[in-house]
Amino acid sequence: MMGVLGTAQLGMAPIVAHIFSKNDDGSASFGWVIGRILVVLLMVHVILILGALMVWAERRVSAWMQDRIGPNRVGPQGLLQPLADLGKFMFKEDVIPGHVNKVMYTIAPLIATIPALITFAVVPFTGSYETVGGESVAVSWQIADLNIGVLYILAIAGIGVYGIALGGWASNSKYSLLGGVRASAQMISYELSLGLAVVPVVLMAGSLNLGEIIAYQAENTWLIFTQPLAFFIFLTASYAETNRLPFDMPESETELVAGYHTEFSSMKFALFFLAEYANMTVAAALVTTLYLGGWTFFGLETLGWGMGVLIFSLKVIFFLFAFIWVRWTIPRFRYDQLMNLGWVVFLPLTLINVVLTAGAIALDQTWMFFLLPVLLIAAACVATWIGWKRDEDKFQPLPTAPAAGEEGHA
Amino acid sequence: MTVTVKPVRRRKASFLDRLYLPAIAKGLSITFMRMFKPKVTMQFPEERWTVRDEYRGMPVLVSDDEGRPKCVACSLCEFVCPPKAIFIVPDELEAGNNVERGPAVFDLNMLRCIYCGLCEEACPEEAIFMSKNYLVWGAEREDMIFHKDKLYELGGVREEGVKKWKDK
Amino acid sequence: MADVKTVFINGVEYPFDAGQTVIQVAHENGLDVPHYCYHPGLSIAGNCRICMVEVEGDAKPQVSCKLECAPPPWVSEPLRIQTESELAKSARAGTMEMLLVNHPLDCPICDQAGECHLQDYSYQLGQGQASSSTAKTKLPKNVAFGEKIVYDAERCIKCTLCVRFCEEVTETNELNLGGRGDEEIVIMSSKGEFETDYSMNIIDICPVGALTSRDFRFKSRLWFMDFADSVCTGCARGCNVITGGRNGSMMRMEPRHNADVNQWWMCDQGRLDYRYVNTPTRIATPRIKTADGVWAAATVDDAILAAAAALKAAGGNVLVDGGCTLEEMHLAQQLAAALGGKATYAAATGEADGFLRVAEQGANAAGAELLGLARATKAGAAAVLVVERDANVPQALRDGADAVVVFATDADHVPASAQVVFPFGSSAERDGLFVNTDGRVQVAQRNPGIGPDNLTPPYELLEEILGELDAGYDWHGRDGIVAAIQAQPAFAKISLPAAQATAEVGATS
Ligand code: SF4
Ligand code: SF4
Ligand code: SF4
Ligand code: SF4
Ligand code: FES
Repeated sequence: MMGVLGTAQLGMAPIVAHIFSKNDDGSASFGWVIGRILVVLLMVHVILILGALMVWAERRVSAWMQDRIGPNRVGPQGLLQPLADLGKFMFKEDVIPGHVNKVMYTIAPLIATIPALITFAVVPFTGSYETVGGESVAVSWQIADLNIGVLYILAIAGIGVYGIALGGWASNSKYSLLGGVRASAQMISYELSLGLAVVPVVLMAGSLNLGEIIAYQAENTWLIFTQPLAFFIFLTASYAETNRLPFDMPESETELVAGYHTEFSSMKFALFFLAEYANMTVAAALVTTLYLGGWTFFGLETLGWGMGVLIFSLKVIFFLFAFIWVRWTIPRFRYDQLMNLGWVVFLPLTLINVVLTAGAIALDQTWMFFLLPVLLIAAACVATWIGWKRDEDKFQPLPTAPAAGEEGHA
Repeated sequence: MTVTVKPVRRRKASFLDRLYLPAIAKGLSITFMRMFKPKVTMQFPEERWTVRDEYRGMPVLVSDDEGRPKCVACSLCEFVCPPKAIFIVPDELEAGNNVERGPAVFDLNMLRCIYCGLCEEACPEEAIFMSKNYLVWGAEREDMIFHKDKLYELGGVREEGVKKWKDK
Repeated sequence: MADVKTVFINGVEYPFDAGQTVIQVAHENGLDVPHYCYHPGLSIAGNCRICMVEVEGDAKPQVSCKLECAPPPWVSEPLRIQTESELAKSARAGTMEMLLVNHPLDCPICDQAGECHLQDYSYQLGQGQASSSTAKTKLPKNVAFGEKIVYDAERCIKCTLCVRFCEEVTETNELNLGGRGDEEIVIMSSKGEFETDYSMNIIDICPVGALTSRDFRFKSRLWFMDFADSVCTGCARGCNVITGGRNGSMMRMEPRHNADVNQWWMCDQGRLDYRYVNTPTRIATPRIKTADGVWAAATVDDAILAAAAALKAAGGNVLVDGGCTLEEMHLAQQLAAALGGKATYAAATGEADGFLRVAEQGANAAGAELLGLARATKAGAAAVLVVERDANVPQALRDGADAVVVFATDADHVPASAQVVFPFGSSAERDGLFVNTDGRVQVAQRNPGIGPDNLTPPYELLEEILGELDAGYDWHGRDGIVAAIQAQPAFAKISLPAAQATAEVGATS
């Protein structure tokens, strides 16, 4: 029963518990299935509502950062603005341009959205301590307890980019196509570092199960302390994966109008929109789970499963805020810079990190876990410093002065 | 014009610049601090700008101090209007009016008007003025064509200015 | 007494005829000397003093309209006149100031604005600032001079042109000056109505906006209107006119000087005759009657094909309006020949008034006769009918023709038998040649501001229909048509102006 959202753990009244529990022989009862469906629906709505709130938050926060107020008319503090937006999207004309591939064009938004929703199934959002074999173990609750949770998430999230690439291709427009191609190239480049940044985590926790990763962190320490480099690279790569600034090449409106969703309107466009925010939520939840101990917070989580939800939510919200914060601070990278960062900087760093972590585990030298990141960061700094030192001339070459009397341009 | 070019020695990116992260941290702190600074947004329908005297808003027709429409349908504004926003059909007025002549139709197409103020400039009767009204809206094209009565209503009474026909 | 035959104006020597005044010689030679009370068609009054010029050797300027070119008998040298010297200019400026002392600033409501001599000279000579501070006199405004004319005494400069016109041209003496000094105004005889049908000419000759037309009153500003030189088709005199229109509507008609036809004048009936042009039932696009008897708008091309088909089936005569141009009549003849019939024209007969108006109402009846068209006096069958005016082709003729293809201006003039209808331009909307009652060929020009948009000229339509009839007709264009007419024996002694010629050209037979 470990990790399963069982009614007993929810501490509900016995009668309710009975209705939603499994049959005595452990097979699925009708009530159990119903309960499961209810929980799934609940989670889907939580993500959707979170996505909507993110739109609001994005607009408010960006406004604050720019000395503005932001939407504050619809509902208290403009909180109902997303509803109004939704109404607008629903009643807008759903234009399907004549030159598109209708089938692909129609399903592309769905392909982009659904993976974002279903990845959430394995994310543990709270838990409790149980005594297993005389030891107190942190047991996480999630919708589906998968042994290969990490792989599942990486695999499913990878499908999302199909939606974007397909949408771009099916639109049969140059801007959209460029956006779609960029999205897939970006995805391929960063999926590598993203995956390699997770490897040390898996190595250290010894499991691909997210619940067990949390349990490891609860027992030892949060992995952000032992693997700061992996954390940083994972965070950055997830920005690229979710197509957020500073890596929003696929939509970069200054070059591509709106990139892959240029030709989409009405709810189709809204779905792409939603997918982006749902992906952000998943990414934030994943960072929280992998590096920040998920629903645990130095013993505070023992107060009850509700506290676990709160802790988890606050951590996720912080990272969501970080998404917005970064978007309104750092300008977009050039495409070559993006690729450089992915292949030349992140990939080697993560590889070295993996090798060193594996070595430390093999030698069972846990102290190395703390030293490694320091070493790595120091090495990176030294490498940069050497490069800078070798560049003898600290100044750019002077522009050739125009000959006397010649007319120059200011 | 000759421009004197003064070469400036520009530094290359320094070591810290090359690390990028300090700059990013600085940027993040700036945007974060900005969130708590006072806001400059004006809450539009409730709060309004103080419109300056020389502001050129929508052109309107005015009446004299006795409430009589001033326009005599001379059509000079129609002639001078660069985008041809004005359409006038002159007509003979009955005795007892301001003058013997006035517009039967005076249409101002605010979809065309460019707020140049030439109509005000051209009007020999000081009958058309650029008002301070910058809220010109309509739900349909038709709504944006303002007719004579509406223009006089918007313009109201203007006491100063020429009153040529007063003693006629 | 020396025989002086020349006069120097601004240093250039010009010859003159006996009795000519300086202003006449100046105008003949293209010099611009301002004038109000002078009119070449009327006696010289010399009362407005705007035409002042300097006579070298004289301390005082003189009025050029009354100053004869012949010097006094005791002088043997030609006069030396300066029209633009300081003295002349300051004299005129002084006159302007006096004229404006009591003149109202009416221009915004004055119909004359834009063609007002007072405005023009005020721009040239005026000071923009009055030195008199006394209140302006108040005089009657909006006085009816008969039904057609409105008089404004404040604007009047008492040049007496109107009075002289009624005295000398119409000899009916309806107008005179009354009152004195500031209060002097033009008054009308106690009858209160003009006896002459030429009264509206005083509107044209009035140099200011004192006399305006009741009909044109406040209708449009001149600067919005399009003007074209044309001829009046009210009767066979063919007075030369200028048509004025705006946005498709005809606004007014004014006489144009032609010493051989109408001098400076035209009759009121002809002037006000234009109103049929603006009828609400004007036909703007071709129409075809569908199988179930309903009219449907058609493109020009479709209508031409339909007309040709209908005509092939019907065959027969062609009946044209006597107000058609030579070109149209010629093509009507060709069409009739192709259909195996004859072309005739119809025109009304009115009353001559002994001055300009003649009894013949068909503006081009003389042309029709030259081309050899017979005059239709009673109803007869005709497959094609061209109606410009109800008067020329009355209902009886229209209905009696049993026509299938009809060219008409007014939907009310289309007989029930019609199957294809083409819009026909009024006389202001068609280019063409007219032969007046004296056998004089005159050019009418289309006014682009009048009539429905994109009206296809009737001669083009007729040519296209002819082409569709497979009668071996080649498309000529207007020049070709004119050349074909010119080639006819009846026109051997007449030289037709080229199609593109301006209305100024008008060769006599
Ligand atoms: S402001 Fe300018 S554009 Fe507008 S009506 Fe007046 S003249 Fe026309
Ligand atoms: S210029 Fe003035 S008086 Fe003349 S029509 Fe326009 S508003 Fe009326
Ligand atoms: S007569 Fe001439 S100057 Fe006088 S008001 Fe009329 S247009 Fe103006
Ligand atoms: S009404 Fe006109 S033509 Fe007659 S006297 Fe006056 S200004 Fe002259
Ligand atoms: S024109 Fe010569 S005095 Fe009037």
